Amino acid sequence: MSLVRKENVYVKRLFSLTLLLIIGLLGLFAPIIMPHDPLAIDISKKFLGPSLDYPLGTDHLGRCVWSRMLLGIRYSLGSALIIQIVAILLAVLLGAFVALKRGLIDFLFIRICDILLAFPTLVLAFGLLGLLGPSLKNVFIALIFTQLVYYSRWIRGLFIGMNEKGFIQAARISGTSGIKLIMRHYIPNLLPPIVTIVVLDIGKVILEIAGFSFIGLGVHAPIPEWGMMVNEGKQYIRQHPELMLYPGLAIVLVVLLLNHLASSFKKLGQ
Amino acid sequence: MTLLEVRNIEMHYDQRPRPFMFKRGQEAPVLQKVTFSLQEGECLGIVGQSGSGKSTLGRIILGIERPTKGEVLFQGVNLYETTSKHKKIIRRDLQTVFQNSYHSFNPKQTIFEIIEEPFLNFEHFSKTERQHKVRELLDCVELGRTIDQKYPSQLSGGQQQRVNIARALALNPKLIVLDEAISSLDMILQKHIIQLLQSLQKDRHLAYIFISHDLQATRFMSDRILVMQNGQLVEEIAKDGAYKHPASLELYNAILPSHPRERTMKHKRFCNV
Ligand SMILES: Nc1ncnc2c1ncn2[C@@H]1O[C@H](COP(=O)(O)OP(=O)(O)OP(=O)(O)O)[C@@H](O)[C@H]1O
Ligand SMILES: [Mg+2]
Repeated sequence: MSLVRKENVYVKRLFSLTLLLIIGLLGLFAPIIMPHDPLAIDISKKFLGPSLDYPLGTDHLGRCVWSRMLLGIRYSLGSALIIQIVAILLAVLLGAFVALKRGLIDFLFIRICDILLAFPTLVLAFGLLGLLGPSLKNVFIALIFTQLVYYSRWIRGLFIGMNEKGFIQAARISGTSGIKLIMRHYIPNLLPPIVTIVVLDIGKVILEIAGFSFIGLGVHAPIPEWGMMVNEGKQYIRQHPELMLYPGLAIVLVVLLLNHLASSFKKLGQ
Repeated sequence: MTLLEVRNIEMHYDQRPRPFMFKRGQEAPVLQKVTFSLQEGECLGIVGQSGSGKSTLGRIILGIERPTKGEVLFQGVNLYETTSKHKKIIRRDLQTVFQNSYHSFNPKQTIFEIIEEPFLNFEHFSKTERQHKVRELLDCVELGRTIDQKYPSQLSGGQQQRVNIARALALNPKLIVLDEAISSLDMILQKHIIQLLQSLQKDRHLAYIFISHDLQATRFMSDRILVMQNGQLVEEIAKDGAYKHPASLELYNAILPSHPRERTMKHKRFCNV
């Protein structure tokens, strides 16, 4: 019975993993496979319906929506992925450092994190973006920072929980210390929960990037980030709702796939 | 020569600072006024009821848990007041077999990786040399060589315990703290391991601290036995000495003789009653 279930989870994970991989590859090779320049404006061709030449038609400036969607994968999924990877790497370094040092550094770290975490992450990111000004680079900085605060605090807790484990003490007695101890014993045992959370939160970060673009705090106008496309399409929601629908659906699909993937990781870990 | 000196150890577990309005909980100390010393090549037994603080004392001697008070000198160096570099040198000579063997393995490592770890830290062996060494150690504790690619969860309790012993022997230490190291093994294996430990003791001039609640095995292994009760050392017994303290007598009386009739005879032999 349990075997069958595991098999099932495995197949499901394979499903979402493959779809995400295909989307990722589309984004990676976007410059090669897009039929048109996603930034090329041609007012004479605005609001065209789907055709062989323009698979998803054109928007209010006559740009190819399909090409914009493809390049948008890079700005939405790609950015979120980079933000998550950078944030978790920094968080592991920081969290591990404080957890193994303890003492005053740890105390200060906890206080600072508590103060920062008192704001919801989105509000914290808003504040930072407001200070830095809207741009793709600043979206990166703001989101990496907020994720870092949240993750490093969490990872510190995971590490401290491990400190007491018998095999950590045994490894210390065998003479393992410092970075070797972390790489050999902490990380392999903490990898499943960390991977789950990181994958799960990619979806959250995609939504946040899109949210910033939508309210004009994120990337600048011509960049075909999905949230930006929703934003641009909203003026024409009555006449051409598909302009909002395509990027909106893409965001929903990717986020759902990521959640699904993460939850299957969680089930396998149990 | 004196290898280890334990002076006036006291241990409280409840050390967390409390908010100022709440009084700190007055927990009874886990260890109190524990003082003894150990010679090179000696085997010291420590017995006592469950919860009397034996494992805690073991951890303090190993330098992984700082005592509230008192000091531990290993070869004349205070374990808790030395540089980390020096501590690493001491580390080589001071090994242990933990009571809970399964928890002392990283579940993500194979048996080979577990036993080779000390070599990675202290020696510059090549992979084949390490394989060779690990095989030797596995032979030493009578484990098959094919076991080395398995994971700890795939071994029986006794096999795990022997892997633990193999790891402790790897670096050729001067002192091994054996915390219930053989209690989970069957009688035949207990005998083999005790013989192995004793021969190692002779060859390498090894010292042991043999923690156990099995009085018979301890008596067989040790040159000297310390009896603990409620965190205090209540009696020290020489190799063939008699038990006097009530706590020791209680431990002794709990041994079930193989035949009821032998009971009175044993009493006469050991207890002066
Ligand atoms: N980490 C800890 N935190 C708080 N109390 C502890 C801790 N470890 C041990 N104790 C307490 O210290 C006392 C002695 O424990 P210890 O493990 O040293 O006993 P022991 O003599 O080894 O017993 P056993 O024979 O069952 O292994 C117990 O009362 C236990 O509750
Ligand atoms: Mg114990």
